[in-house]
Amino acid sequence: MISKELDKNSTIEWPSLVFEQKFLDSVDKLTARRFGEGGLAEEASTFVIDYLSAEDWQRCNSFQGKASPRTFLVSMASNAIEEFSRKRFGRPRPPSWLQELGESWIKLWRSLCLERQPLPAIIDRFCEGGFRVADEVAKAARLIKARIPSCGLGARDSLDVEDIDALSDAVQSETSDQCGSETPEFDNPFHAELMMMMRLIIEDEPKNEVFQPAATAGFDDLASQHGEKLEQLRSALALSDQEKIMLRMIHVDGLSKSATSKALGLPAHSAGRIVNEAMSRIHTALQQCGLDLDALLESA
Amino acid sequence: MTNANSNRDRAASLLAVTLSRGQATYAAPTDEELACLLADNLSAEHSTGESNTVAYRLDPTRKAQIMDSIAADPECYSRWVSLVESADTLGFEVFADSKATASVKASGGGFFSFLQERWLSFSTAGGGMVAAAAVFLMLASPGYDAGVNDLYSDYGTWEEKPSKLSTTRSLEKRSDIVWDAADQSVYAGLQKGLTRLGDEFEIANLAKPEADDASALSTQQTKALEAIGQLTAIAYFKCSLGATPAFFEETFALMQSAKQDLSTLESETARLIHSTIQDDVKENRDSIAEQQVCELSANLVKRFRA
Repeated sequence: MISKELDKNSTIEWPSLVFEQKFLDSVDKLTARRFGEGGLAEEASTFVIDYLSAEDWQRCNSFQGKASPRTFLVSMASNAIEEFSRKRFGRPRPPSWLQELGESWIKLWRSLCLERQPLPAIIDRFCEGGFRVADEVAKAARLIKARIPSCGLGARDSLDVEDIDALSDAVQSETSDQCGSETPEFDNPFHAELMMMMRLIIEDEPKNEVFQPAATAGFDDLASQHGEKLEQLRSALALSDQEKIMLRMIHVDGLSKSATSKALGLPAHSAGRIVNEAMSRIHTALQQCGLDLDALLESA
Repeated sequence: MTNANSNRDRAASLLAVTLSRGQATYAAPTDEELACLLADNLSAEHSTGESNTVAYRLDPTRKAQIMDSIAADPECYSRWVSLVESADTLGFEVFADSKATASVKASGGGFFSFLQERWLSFSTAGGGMVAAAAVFLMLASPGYDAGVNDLYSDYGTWEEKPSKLSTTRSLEKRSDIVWDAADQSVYAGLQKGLTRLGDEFEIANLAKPEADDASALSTQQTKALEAIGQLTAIAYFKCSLGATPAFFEETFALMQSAKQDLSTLESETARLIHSTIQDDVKENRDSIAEQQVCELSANLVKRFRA
């Protein structure tokens, strides 16, 4: 069945939709989930409405009628909330190792290091409704703090700012310390960094030594020894897009199987089965390519 | 799953998804298309039977292209996860928007009024959209075996098993229980679950229920009750020994699904299941899931205590 789009000549009264109480309540829920209850969330909610209504609802006019107007507004609101965070707390580029790990890690880093939210509150919100596993979020936070010792420290602490654009300019210079040193320079960047990330992701108590030059050389050696086999593995892996997305959402980003299943339109129980089957094929491919996962993880 | 195994799987997953990530082949989806994908995934039905009713839905080809982008493009993936988290915050059923009228007029008032009416009915307890969304959120397909198998596969091990666990909770048998065919099915599932858990797990002093009319149940009802029996077995011990919220959430979802096939069954056991496992849980879902799973497992076991 082919979808039908709204008549392009139709006019949607965006103000009516946005200022309806239900949508305003939705925005408040989203900002509270992101920043906790309080002044910052209220500030963010105001920003979202301003963002949507800017320049005579210009952003809303990009609506093409494919989704329902309400879900479109929610997706716009989600973007606006992150834009608020960037304006309010700066736009430093996350370290490459963090970017590789994905959205949840970046959001955690922003919450922890830039927005300086308390960790217990972050864990509560990240794991609300079982969306993520608390232990995994706590472990990720330990890793970030191990890598970025200055995470969350800073002299600036102001919540009452009227001109958010001016603040945005001011905070840029203050946030560079929250990135940590850049990823070590490897001779074989792709494979060596991948080895490093695998090692980091399994550490229960991550230490900054992993990023030190002595360890760097070890990852480079590992990459040299196994580079060819890793490329063979790349060819041997035959994961579907759905499997790749699920593995990343569940195993790397730490989202619950339940939420992942729902988001991908799968029955509640099937995430475990699909992921287990994919893992089985990954382990088989590792063996076929002569790669010992345990050896890779231990010898770095 | 032990911590070491889960860490290995995480590392292997990271290795696999990073190596497999190719270049995005197609145009990156807009935020609206991502919202449409999520709504499409969550919607139970797409119908154009009503007049002035339009189904918002992605073309299957474009849907596949969007999945390719999410898998291949980190920025697209980030936007996807953010949207999923927003949907989780507001309730996934909000996105299960499979129907809307196309009566958008130049004045805009009609459309707004429609949305207002629709949202009002959506938020009313027992409203059709709520029920439809709630049903979809549960496992709609009666594939209980697969669901229960996965649950046991994922959670049916303990790092430290008790040396012998005859019963962990003190229960008193009610003297006014009259068994029926439904009890027999639940009991059968319970025993099957205990077998799967292994010899270390035993519930002492269980009596096999006798009932006159074993044929009173349909095949689907029997399957649903046996599934609940198996879920009761594992939940009974998880409630005492501890389990993750994910376990209770998945068990709860399976129980919600199974009870849908028992809606017409006249039985004390069916009434117990219906009264304990709620349908439309949005707030505090994780704590409610644990509470209701444990309450049902305890009360079902209590029915068989000799």
